[in-house]
Amino acid sequence: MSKVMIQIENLKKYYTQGALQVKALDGVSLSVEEGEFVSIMGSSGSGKSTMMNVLGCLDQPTDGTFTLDGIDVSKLKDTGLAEIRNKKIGFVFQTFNLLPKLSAIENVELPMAYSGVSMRERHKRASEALEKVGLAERMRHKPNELSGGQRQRVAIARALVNKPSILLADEPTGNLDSKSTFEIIDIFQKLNDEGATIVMVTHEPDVAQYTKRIVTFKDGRAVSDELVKNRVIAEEEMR
Amino acid sequence: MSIFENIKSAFKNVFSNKMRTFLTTLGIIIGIAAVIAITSVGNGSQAQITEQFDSLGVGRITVSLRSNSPRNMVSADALTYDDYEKLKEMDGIKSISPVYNGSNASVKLLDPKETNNASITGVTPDYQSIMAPTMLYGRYVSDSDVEAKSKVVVINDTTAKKVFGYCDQSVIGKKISIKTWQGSSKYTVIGISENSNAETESLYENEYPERMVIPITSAFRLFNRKTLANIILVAEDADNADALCSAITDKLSEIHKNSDKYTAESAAEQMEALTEVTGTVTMLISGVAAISLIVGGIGVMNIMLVTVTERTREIGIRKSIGAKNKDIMVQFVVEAVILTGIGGILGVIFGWGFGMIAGNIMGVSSVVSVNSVFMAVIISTAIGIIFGVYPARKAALLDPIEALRYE
Repeated sequence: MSKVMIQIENLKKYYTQGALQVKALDGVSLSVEEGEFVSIMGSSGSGKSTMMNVLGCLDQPTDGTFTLDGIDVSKLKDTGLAEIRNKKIGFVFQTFNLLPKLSAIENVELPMAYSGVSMRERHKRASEALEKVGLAERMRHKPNELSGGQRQRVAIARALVNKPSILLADEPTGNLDSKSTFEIIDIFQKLNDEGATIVMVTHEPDVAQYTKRIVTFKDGRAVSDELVKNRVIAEEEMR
Repeated sequence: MSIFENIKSAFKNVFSNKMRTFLTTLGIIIGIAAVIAITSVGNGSQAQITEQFDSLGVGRITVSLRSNSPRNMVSADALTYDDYEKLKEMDGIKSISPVYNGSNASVKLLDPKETNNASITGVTPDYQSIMAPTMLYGRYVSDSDVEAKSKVVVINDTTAKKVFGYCDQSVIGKKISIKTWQGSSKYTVIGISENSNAETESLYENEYPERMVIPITSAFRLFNRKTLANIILVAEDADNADALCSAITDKLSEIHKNSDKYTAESAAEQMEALTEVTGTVTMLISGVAAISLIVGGIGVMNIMLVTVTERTREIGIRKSIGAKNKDIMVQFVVEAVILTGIGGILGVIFGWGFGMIAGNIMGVSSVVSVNSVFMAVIISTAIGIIFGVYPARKAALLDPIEALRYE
């Protein structure tokens, strides 16, 4: 048995919107092992975004437990959560979320700046990460000088650079054309082959077919959880 | 994130919008410039005052009848040569001289038809060591001159040129004709001193009287009076001048059997009074500058709040990749400090310039002290911290999810 990376039990997240109580997550239990590639699906309002925020330690659950790589994060405060985000989680967003004034490599170096890695080490690791996503040539460019696919690759390099326990991707191909989508998915699959644990939120069933397991959310609950039978390999598709 | 990196990225942000930075820091620039300009001119004039008093001798004490006393009517109160002789016996006095001032006299100039007013000072030899004139030729008034009531005079180089047409060794021994209401008498020149006010006097040719020094006894004879204008002395110990002053006035009151009629003022006291005035003016303008700095600080706070709002998304991104609240806080405080620091530096430069210009106009040298620059740096940094903390705190406490969603 491989190591359990994410262990969630009876997780609840309630908001009050005006007089109304919204049950964004209403008792979710989920377990993800090391090396899995899971996609979370569901229509808008199903709770998948809230799930993502909790998994990313940007939000705290109202109730239930969440253990990430052996650490119970549901009890942590601001500073503790920031440290988890920095060291255990790599985020990839739909809108890339790169800092526009920084070059590609400076963006990739940023997470290490917050974990106190030396300048020289930062530069070395950031270059390696950019090389891995095939952007070694463009590391001095600013985000607005890069295409959407290239920006997302910078974001992936940034997510990887602190060697996180899990990679969280929130609609990573939502803003990309089909060619770039293949490229990004290809990178994820290769990272997964090398052992990375990836959780990806998507609403596109096509994209979900590239992952190994699909968890579907509806009304704040995980309603189905099944393995992908005929998994598609992006590299083969691109040929 | 090290403080060095924070500073580097803060500079990047601050310089990416130069106009905004300049306008934001204008209040700080004006405030610091005002402080620097005022203190530089203040320091300059202070240095000048001190220098002047140093040249006069700080330990010098002038004893005189209070100016509000009717000095001519009640002659019993007037200072006399006897008073001088009694004060001379007191302890703690290094040198002492009675001073008689005679101004209603005139002196014949080179052209026999022309005369000029003469300001004649009767003294004893100690007067030389008290006033320390620079002697060019000859000697000063001596004890034997005083004893013999000699008709001898010490003039300055300006007078020598006016009376004899030249100024050199050969003037010593020549005679000067001094005329009073009693008639005229001839005085022999025994010494020529340098005119310390030559520069000012040269501007107003004959407006100034010819200043001459003669033995005190000769002055009594020349003007037929025995009252003194004042008694001038130097204390042995300058630090003890205050005690000596009160001892002297007590002594005089005892001699004349009156009270509170005499003043003994040291140059140090006069300087203190003057310094106090300059100090008050400096305080006043510094107050105005302080208000400008506070207004400037509020300006910085305002623009930092705008910056935080504009960069909400950036804050969200930074938090999502692991920036702690503290990191964000430091980032924005550093940026505010850089803003006010730039204002402070520009303020020092402008203030230095204004100080030079104002100093030139006022005829005072302006001195920018290291202290005031140091103070300006500390003040502008403090303003950055004080007015930067609130916006930075606001940034640090942003909810990362909300911040990431911000468009």
